Amino acid sequence: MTLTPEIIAILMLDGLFLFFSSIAFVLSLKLYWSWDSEATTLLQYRLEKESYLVGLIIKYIFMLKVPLFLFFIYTCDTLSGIITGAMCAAGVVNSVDFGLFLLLFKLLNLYLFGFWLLLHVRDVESELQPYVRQKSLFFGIAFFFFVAEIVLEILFFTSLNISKIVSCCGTLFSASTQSSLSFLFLMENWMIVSLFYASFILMLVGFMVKNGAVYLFSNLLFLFFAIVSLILFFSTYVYELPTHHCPFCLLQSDYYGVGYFLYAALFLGTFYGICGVVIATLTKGFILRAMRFSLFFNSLYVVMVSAYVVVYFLKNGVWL
Amino acid sequence: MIVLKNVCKCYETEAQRIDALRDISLHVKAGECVILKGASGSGKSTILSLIAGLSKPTTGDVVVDGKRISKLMEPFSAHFRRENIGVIFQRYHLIATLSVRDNIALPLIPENLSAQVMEKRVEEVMELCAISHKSSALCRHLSGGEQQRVAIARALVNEPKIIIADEPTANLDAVLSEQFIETMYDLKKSGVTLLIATHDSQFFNLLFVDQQIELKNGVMLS
Amino acid sequence: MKFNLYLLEFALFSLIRKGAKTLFVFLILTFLIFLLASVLFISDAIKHELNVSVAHLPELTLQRLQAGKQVNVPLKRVEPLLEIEGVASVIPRVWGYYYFKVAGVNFSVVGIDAFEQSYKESLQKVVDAYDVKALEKESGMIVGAGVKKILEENYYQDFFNFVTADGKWKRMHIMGSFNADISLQANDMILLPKKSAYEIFGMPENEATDVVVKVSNPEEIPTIVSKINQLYPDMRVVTKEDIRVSYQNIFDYKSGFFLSLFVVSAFTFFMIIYDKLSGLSSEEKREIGILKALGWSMDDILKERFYESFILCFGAFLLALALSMAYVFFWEAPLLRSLFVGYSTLKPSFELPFYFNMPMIVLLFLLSVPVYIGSVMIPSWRAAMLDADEVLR
Ligand SMILES: Nc1ncnc2c1ncn2[C@@H]1O[C@H](COP(=O)(O)OP(=O)(O)OP(=O)(O)O)[C@@H](O)[C@H]1O
Ligand SMILES: [Mg+2]
Repeated sequence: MTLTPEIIAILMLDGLFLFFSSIAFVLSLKLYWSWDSEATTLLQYRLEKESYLVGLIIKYIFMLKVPLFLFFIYTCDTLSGIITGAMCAAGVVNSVDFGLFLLLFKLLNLYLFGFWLLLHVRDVESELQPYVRQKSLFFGIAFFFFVAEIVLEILFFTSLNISKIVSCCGTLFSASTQSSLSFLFLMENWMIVSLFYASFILMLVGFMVKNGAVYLFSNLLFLFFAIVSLILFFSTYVYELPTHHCPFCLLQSDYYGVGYFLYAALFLGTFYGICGVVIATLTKGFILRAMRFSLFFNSLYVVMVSAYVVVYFLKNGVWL
Repeated sequence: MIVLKNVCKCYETEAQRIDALRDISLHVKAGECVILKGASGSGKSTILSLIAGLSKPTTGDVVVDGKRISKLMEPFSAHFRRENIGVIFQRYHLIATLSVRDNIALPLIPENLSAQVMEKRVEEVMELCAISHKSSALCRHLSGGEQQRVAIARALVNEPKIIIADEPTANLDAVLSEQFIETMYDLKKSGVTLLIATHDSQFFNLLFVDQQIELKNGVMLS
Repeated sequence: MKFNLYLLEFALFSLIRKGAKTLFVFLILTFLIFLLASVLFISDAIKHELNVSVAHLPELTLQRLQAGKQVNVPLKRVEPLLEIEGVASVIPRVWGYYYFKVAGVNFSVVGIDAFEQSYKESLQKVVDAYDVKALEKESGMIVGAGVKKILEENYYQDFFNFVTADGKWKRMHIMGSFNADISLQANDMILLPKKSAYEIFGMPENEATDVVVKVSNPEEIPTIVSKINQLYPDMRVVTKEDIRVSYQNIFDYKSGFFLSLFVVSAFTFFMIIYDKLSGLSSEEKREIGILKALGWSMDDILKERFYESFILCFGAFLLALALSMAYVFFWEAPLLRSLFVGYSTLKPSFELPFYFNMPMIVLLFLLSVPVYIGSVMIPSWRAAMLDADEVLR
């Protein structure tokens, strides 16, 4: 177990989150069971106020979770300096068996909390607060994911072992057989890249015919292929090295932290594309607005990654 | 404009259950002036706070300007109050450590108006209530009558359709009460609906009063 | 949605109106963040300094182990080591600690040689500045600034009597002193001719304390290490990287340990105090009631409260940052620094280099502001949900 100040900060905030989210959880359950917008009981008046507190807590957590996610990556990056063999966050995350799960949970929870907040915004826009029970139920479930993330994170930091030698991103993201991600490399580059662009085109079609279902589906595909194609293909153009596939090194200052922009665009685009469209459908809201937001950020992402390839080709006259 | 339908309000404390209002129904048309009278503890203030949306009835409905404010939830009831209702309290309830101008501007803060509009509105009501000369004095340095005028100015600054006054003259002498009544008369002429809870007999035989409602132990007498 | 400046202004004045209570919270908060920032600044500065000094170290240090303990290395091993491909130079070192009983401190004594390159650039500079042969002839030595100070305090103006391993006196003249750029390491150092060092330590002259190896190409380090291991299985090879990691660990651990203790105790303390303070006075309750009756929503009141705590907290944060920078880098952190450099009373007299970076500010922010905002969240909510009908009664 190592206790760098960064880790302490993260663990402390985890403790804080756990405390507050438990309060929100208990209140959510209460809201789910007893909410009755027609009632004029003291209980109902109390619940109305408590539903405020739930919103407040979740806003607080979400507001910190977003920068904390970046901070987590940053911490892993600095830890790579003291963990033998690790060159970037990838090695550190993978030094523990469940590192990848932790990361996935973190991402998933960002989507879940964001979804909740979107629903919340729609809810309090209306005088009757029609979605209180739905959002309470939703949080009641999301809470477990959140706890899982926190537990994993605590385990992660307590079981980090400095003396253990880990593999660097070079071996993790390579076709070599011992890497857990090697199966990805069985696919041909051109196939993945064309699937990536195909899902984007499908998204455009979905947007033009204003079909929420198609749009949602294409976003799920897009998210998946975007990540895979980034690892397999686009990252090599960022690094200008045909063998470097790491999705974490993108975040380092050597590459101007371009990863932060790429991931932010991808996250926002798919977030509005998935959560935004779901919410808009559920609450009969402005689906077009969500789609427009989503399309903007997704296009931004596509333009950014494509630009790397094109610029490389223009500069060097060859493909990698 | 204001409709109360079979409104009951009971307060539950550990010791007992107090029925502050029992089956109250009343109807106030726009532009009317209504006096609520009755002994202390008869439920006058409770009716006013229900109409202002500050508390909710145990049963029954309160409808103001077509809105069921008895069912209106938090941000909307506050919003509604801000747009439509001006309140004058029994003890003025000015914030003593703020200046006259700042006190008057309080209801406008959540509106987030531009500085000019805000300034203009505050100037207007200060003019109207003849308190401009004290605009930057602290409220705790004001006399009772001046405080009263600031309270009125503050109730008017958001240009409400309804003014609610809870025993506005309880702390004033006869001359100042007279002045207050005149201000109310001016307001009524400009079309504002007035609801005044009082047991000051000066109000009981005014010509511009449209309804007098007498309460006793939470029940309407007339 | 436009940002509501009036609300911010109201929050600011409301803080001022609360006067003493605001000041009290502000001061406590400033003090806590100040402590936190100072600890982080000091540990970061030390880490930075160590990193710089480690960068000057030779790539490999070879120690001989016997029964798990470090023992001297026979000098005849130097030649075979030099023959390994990729090795640029091999320098046997003679050094050790000398305990000066009177002052109760340890000096590091390092033997130098006129014909040998020193293992460290900064050391070489010092050696170059003096005539090592003259040192040998007149049994002189060069001492670090800290050593000089200690010796002077004990009335050794221009010489010092070492007690050798045989119990004899060995008088060495102070020929000069140095202020190395990397003060942390050099402060307690005494440089003297190798011959004298052998004598003081009572070491046989065909041995060295350890051996330092320079490598022409850092990429080859792993191969060279394995070759050395084959050649001399009893030698432990410590790479520069190992040293850097262990240093970093020590300091991370120290600051981490302190921090966690500190954070937990300080903030629980703070929460208790805040809880006592945050009970709303009847005046405050009345004010909230008035505002609600005037048409402020719960949201507005919460926002106002949030602005209040944010102004307070952010102000305290900035002030504490400025104070701790002055305290650490200008006044050299009296009291607190001893927490980190506890091994020898000499070492605390090093200078903390100015070292400041953005991630650290972020870290500091994350350690303090969210905790405060979190701790005021529920009290603010309680305040905002107060029943407003009390003002109308
Ligand atoms: N929060 C409360 N909890 C318990 N009882 C309450 C509460 N508020 C009001 N009451 C009770 O409700 C009754 C009506 O109160 P209300 O303030 O309406 O009287 P009022 O007519 O305004 O009297 P006054 O002329 O003295 O102001 C009183 O008996 C009072 O004790
Ligand atoms: Mg009353």
